[in-house]
Amino acid sequence: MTTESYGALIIGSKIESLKAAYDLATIGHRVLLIEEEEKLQASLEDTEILPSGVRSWYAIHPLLMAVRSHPLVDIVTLSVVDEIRHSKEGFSAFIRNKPYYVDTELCCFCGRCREICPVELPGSLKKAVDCISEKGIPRTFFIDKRKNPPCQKACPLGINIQGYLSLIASGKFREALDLIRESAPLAGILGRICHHPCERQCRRNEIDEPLAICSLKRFVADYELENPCHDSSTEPKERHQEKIAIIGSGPAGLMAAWELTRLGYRVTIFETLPVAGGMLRTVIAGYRLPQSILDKEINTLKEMGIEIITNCPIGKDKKSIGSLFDEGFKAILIATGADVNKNLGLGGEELAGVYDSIPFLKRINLGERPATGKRAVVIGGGNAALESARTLLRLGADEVNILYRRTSEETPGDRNELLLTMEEGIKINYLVTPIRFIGKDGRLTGVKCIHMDLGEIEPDGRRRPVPKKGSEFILDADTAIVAIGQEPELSFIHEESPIRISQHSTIKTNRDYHTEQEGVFAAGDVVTGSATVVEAMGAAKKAALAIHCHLRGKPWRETEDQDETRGDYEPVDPNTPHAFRPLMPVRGIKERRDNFEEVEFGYTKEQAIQEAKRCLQCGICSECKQCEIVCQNVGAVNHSGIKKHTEYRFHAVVSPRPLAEKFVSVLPEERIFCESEFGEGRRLEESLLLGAGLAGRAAAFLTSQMEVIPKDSKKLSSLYKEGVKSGLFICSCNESSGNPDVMNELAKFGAGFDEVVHSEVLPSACHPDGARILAETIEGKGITRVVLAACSCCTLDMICTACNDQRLRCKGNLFNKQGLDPSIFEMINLKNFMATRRNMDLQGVLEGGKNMIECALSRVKFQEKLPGQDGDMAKTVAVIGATLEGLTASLDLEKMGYLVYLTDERDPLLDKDISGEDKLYTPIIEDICERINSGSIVYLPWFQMKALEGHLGNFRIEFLGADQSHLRVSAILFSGVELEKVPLTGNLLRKGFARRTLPGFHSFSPWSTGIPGIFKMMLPPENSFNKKGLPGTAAAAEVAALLQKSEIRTKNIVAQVDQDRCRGCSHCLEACPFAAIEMLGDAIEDRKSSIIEMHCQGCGTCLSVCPTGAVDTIYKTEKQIEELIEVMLR
Amino acid sequence: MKHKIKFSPPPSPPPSRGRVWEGVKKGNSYTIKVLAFLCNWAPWSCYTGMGELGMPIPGEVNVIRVMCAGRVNTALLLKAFEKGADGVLIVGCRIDNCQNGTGPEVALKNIEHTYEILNLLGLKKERLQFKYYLAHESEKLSSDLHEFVKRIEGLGQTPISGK
Repeated sequence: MTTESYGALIIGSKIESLKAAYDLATIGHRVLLIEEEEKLQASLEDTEILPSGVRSWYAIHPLLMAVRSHPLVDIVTLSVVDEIRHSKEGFSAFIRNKPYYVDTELCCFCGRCREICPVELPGSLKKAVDCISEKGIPRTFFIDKRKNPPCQKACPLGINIQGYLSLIASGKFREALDLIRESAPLAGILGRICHHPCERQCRRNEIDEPLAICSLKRFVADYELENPCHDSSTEPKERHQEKIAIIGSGPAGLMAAWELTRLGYRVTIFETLPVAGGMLRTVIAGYRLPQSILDKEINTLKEMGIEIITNCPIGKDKKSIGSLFDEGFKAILIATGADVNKNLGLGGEELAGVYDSIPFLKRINLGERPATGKRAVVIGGGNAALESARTLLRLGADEVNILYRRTSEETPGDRNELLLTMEEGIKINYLVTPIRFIGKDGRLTGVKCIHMDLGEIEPDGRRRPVPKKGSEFILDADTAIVAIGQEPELSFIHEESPIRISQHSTIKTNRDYHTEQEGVFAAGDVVTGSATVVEAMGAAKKAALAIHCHLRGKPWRETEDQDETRGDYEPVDPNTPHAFRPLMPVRGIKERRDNFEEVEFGYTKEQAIQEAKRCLQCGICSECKQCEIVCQNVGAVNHSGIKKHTEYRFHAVVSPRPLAEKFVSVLPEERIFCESEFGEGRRLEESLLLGAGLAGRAAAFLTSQMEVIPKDSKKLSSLYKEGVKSGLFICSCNESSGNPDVMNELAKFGAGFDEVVHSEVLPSACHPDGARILAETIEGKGITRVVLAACSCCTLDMICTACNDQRLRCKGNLFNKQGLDPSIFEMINLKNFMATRRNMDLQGVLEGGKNMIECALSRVKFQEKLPGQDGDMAKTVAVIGATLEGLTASLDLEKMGYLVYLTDERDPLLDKDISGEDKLYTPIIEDICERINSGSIVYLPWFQMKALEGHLGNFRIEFLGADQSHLRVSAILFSGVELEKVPLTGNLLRKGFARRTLPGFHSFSPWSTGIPGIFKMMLPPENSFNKKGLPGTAAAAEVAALLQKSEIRTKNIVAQVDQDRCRGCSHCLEACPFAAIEMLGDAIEDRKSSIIEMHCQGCGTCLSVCPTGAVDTIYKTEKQIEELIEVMLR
Repeated sequence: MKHKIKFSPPPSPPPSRGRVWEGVKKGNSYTIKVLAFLCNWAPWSCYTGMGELGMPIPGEVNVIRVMCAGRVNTALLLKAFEKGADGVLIVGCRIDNCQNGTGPEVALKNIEHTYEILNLLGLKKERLQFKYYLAHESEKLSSDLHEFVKRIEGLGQTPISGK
C-alpha cells in the first residue's frame, strides 16, 4: 500500500480522462489514472478524421505521451476499483490489478519475446505474447495466460505439457526436454510406459483424437540420447544438511529422491534387489522399456548425487526404520510399492505351471528364461496381465488366452498396450473368470472357467460381474499366470511400530504423507495399493515437498495457488480441420517372437513436429519460458506475476462516465466530478472541453483541500564543459535493432575518433540500468559530450507525434532520474535507421551507420549549452467579458488561487435582465460579488481596452478607466469578445490572432488564439455542454495549466539573436508565427530584435528570413546542420 | 551498379517487433546522393512510421531532421548543393497542419528563391523539391522518396564535385 495520497483518481482513459489527468497534474495535483483494459483507451483505433484531414489519433498522441511521462501522473492499467472506503485518514480506493507478465516500465519493445514465442494462435497472426499496440500506452507486450490446460491439470506430476508440445512444434527439442525436467525426471521411461491420463483430458478429443503426448515425451528423450549435450541441470538454490533415506528404488522412490535432491538434500535410496528400478525393472518387460533406457535414466539420477544402495533390504540384517534414524537420517520415505500378488483363492493354485505374475516377470526380467508351456492362460486385465501374456508369447507359447471378468470397457490396462497385445495374436476373453485349476500328476492341464454377466454398480463405479449359471467350460492350458492385482509387502514394519496399516495391507498416512511415526513418510503404491507409475510418482513428488516442509518447519499445503484472474480457454473451433496421429513405427509381428527387443520405435523428427502442431494451445501461453530467456538482459518478462490488491488514498474522483452506485454511496457528492449526461460519441473538441471542465472543477475543489505541488525546478549537474571528450553509446535494443556485428563495428568505428574516450554497445538505453551505466561512465571518464544512438530522436523535453513510450522513458531516466544535462547529449535514432534499411546488405547498412555516427560525433562538438532557465510568473489573470462562462472561469481561477481581473464593456452584474435569463446566474453572481467584496476578484465594469501588448507572464493592457489606466497580467481570457476588435499593439501588432481555427494538430488547443497566454472561450455547438458553466471552468483549467507549466523553464529550443550582427530589419518580427520577437531600441538605427523566450517555439522560421545570419537556434544550430551536410556528403 | 529496391508489402504484424537485422547479402554502391530535410512533426512521424512498418528507404537518401521545414534557409540548401548533393528534398507538413503556422509557406518561399540561384548556376531546379505529408502518411513518404531517387538518377550526377 502506498502512503502517498493522490489528489484525484481518474477512472477511464478516453480523451476526456486523459485531458483531465493532464490538466490536473499540470496544475499540481497528484493523479492516479485507472484503466480496466490493458492499454489506454485513447489510441490508434480512434480514427476520426479531423476537418483538417489529420487522424484524431495523431492529434491526441502527444497528449497521451504527456500524461504518460508526467511525474505527477501514475497510470494503472488492467485495474478496477473494487471498493472505496472512508476512514479517519481520508478516502481509500482498493484497486485490483491483473498482471501483464511483462514489466511495462522495463519493456524496451524489442519484440524478441514475440519472435521466439512458439504459440501461434490458430486463425490469426497473434501469438501468446504479443504487443498490445504499436503506439498505445503502455507500449509493451502482454502475455495471454489462461487457466492451466486440462492435460497439465490431469498430469499427476504437473508437467507443462502444452509447453513442451509447443516447443517440439517449433523444433526446439532440447528445450522441450528441459521443460519436462523442470517437473519430473525419467522422461525416457514415462514416455514409454506412462498411462497418460493427460491424453484422456485433451480437448482435441472433441474434434478427432487426443495428442500423442506420451509418445512425444519419448521422442524428446530419445532425441537427447541421439544428440547428447552437456547436462543442463541446475544447481539447487540452497543446500541443506539433513540426510534423507528412501526405501525402495521404484518410480516413487526415484521421483522423491530427484525432487529432494533438487530441493538441496542428500538422499540415499535403499533397495532390496541387486538392481535399482523396482517395478520398472522387474515387471515392465524389455520390449516396452529397454533396460538400457532404465539404466541411463537411473544413471542421470546418480549423477545428480543420489546414492542408491542395492542388496540392502530394510527389516533384515539389523537394518530397520529405527536404525536408519540412528544412522543420522532425518526423514524416511517408504516407497516400497506393491509387489505381492493377490491370491485368487481357487483350488489347484499349487499345481506346477501356475505362476504368480510378479515373481514370474521378475525372473524373466532379471535374465532367467524358464521353460514354459505352449498353451497359456493369463488371468486378469491389468498391465501385469498383458505384460505376462506378451512375455509368454516371447518365451515360446503358441497360444495365449487372457481371461478378464469384465468387458473391454472396464479393463484397467493401457489402451495402446491392449491393441499391441491383440496385434501379437493374444486372445482376450472378456466376461470370463476361472473357477478352478485342473491338473494331472501335479501339473496343470486346464482351467475351468465360467462366463459372467455384469450386474449392479459397485461403490467403485464399475458393474459387479455375476457368474452365468451353467456356462462353465474348460480351457486347456499347461501354463497359467495369475495377475489380478498386487498389494504391498510390509513385513519390515514391526508390530510395535506406530505406523498404522490398513485392512488392504497398505500404510495409512495423513494427508501430508506423514505416517504416525514422526519423520517417516510413505507414498506411492505402498499407500494407495497397486496403481500406475505416474500416480505413484505424483504422490512421491508431493511427499518430497511434504518432507521438505517438515524439515524446514513450514506448513504444508496441498493445492497450489491457481491464479483465478486468468481467463477461460478459447472454445474449440468446430471448423478445426480433422487430423490424426502419425502412425507409430513398430517392429514386425514375426520379429517380436523369441526376443525382448523394443516394439515401438518412436516418432521421427518430422512426425513429432507434425503431431505437436495439432495442439490446440488451450492455455494460450504455454509457459515454455522461452521469452524469459531472450528477455534476460532486460528482465521485463516475468511469468510469475500475480494479481495484486493495492490501496490508494485520494481526495476526489474524476470520472467522465457515471460512477458505480456503490462508490457514490460512500463518497460525498462534492468529491465526485462526473458529467454523465453527455453520453458517448463526442467529437474531439467536446471531449477536450469535458476533460478540462472536470479537471477545472476538481482543481478548484482540491486547491481548497491541499497544497499544490510545486514543480521541482531541477538543478542539473553542470556537466557541460568546454573541451570535447566524447562518449558513444549504442543501444542494441536487446540485440534487436541491428545486426550485432554491425553494432559492434559501429562502436569500434566510433572509438577510432580522437576525441572519443568511450564507446560501447548497451543492451537497452531505456532501461533504468542503461541510464545508470551512462551516468556512471560519464562521471567516471569525465565525458563532456555524449552521442546516444538509440531510438530517441532528440534531447528536448517536448513531445511530438513520432515520440513513444520508450523514447520518453529513456529521456526521463537520463535527464530526470540521473540528472544528466541534456546539453551534452546528441541523440540519434539509430533503431529507425536500421529498421528502414532492413532490406539492404549489411555492408551498406554499416557504411550508412558509420556515416550517421560520424555526423553525430562531429555535430555534438558544436553543441551549445541549452538554457533551461527557471521563469516565474505572477498568478494574475484578466478575464475580458463577464458572460456566464467568463464569470465561472473567474470564480474557478480565484478558487485555484489566482488574482482575477474581471472586466466587461458594460456592468452585467447590475444588469437585472441577464440575471433573469438563467437561474444558473444567480448563485454564481452571488459568489462573484462575495469575492469582489473580499478583493480576490477585481471587477472592472465599463471596461474599454486601448492597447494590449507583451507576452505570456507579462501582458500589459491599457484601458480607459477612472482610477487605473493599465493592468499587468500573466494571461488573458477572452469571453464573448470579438477578437478582431482587440487593439493589439507593440510586439503583438503585426502578429494578430492566428487564422488557424480548425483542430488540426496536437498543439492545437481549442482555447488557443495563436498567442501564447491569450485564450478565448471555447463554446461547443451543443447547448447541453454549457450546463453549470462547464466551458468557463474548462477554460480556467486551461489557463491555470499553462501558467503552472510555464513557471518551470523556457524550452531548450529557443532562438537567440546575435546583437552585433542584427541590423534591425525586423524581417524576423514579421515572419515569427508566435509573436516571440520584439524590437528593442527607440531610434531606428539602434533597433535590434530580441527573442521573447516565453513565446519562442524554436521553429527557426526567423533563421531563414534573417539576411545577416544574426538569429540562430540553440538546438541544432546553423553550424551544426552545415557540419552535418558536410559529413553526410563526404 | 544501381541499387534495386525490393518492394514488399508491409508485413503484418509489423516487423519492428523482433530482430530486424537479417540483411540481404548483396553488394551495392550508390551513384547519387540525396539529402532530405525532414520536419520534426508530420514528416518525422511518417519516417519513424516507416521503420515501424518495415518500409525500406532508398539507400541514396540521407535524412536530416529539422524543427520546421521553414527553418531550412537558402544558405543550407546551397550548402547541400555545394557539397555535392545530387538532389535535395524539403519535407514539411501540409500547409494547414503546420505546427508553427507558417513553415511550409516559408519553405516554399525559400525554395523559389533557391530555384533562381540554381538556374543561374546551371543546376537543374528539378533537383530541389518540397513535399508535404500528414502524420500517418508513411507509405506515401516511402513511395515519394523512391520516386524522387529515380528522378534524380534520371538527371544524373550533379556537375558540382564538392566531394
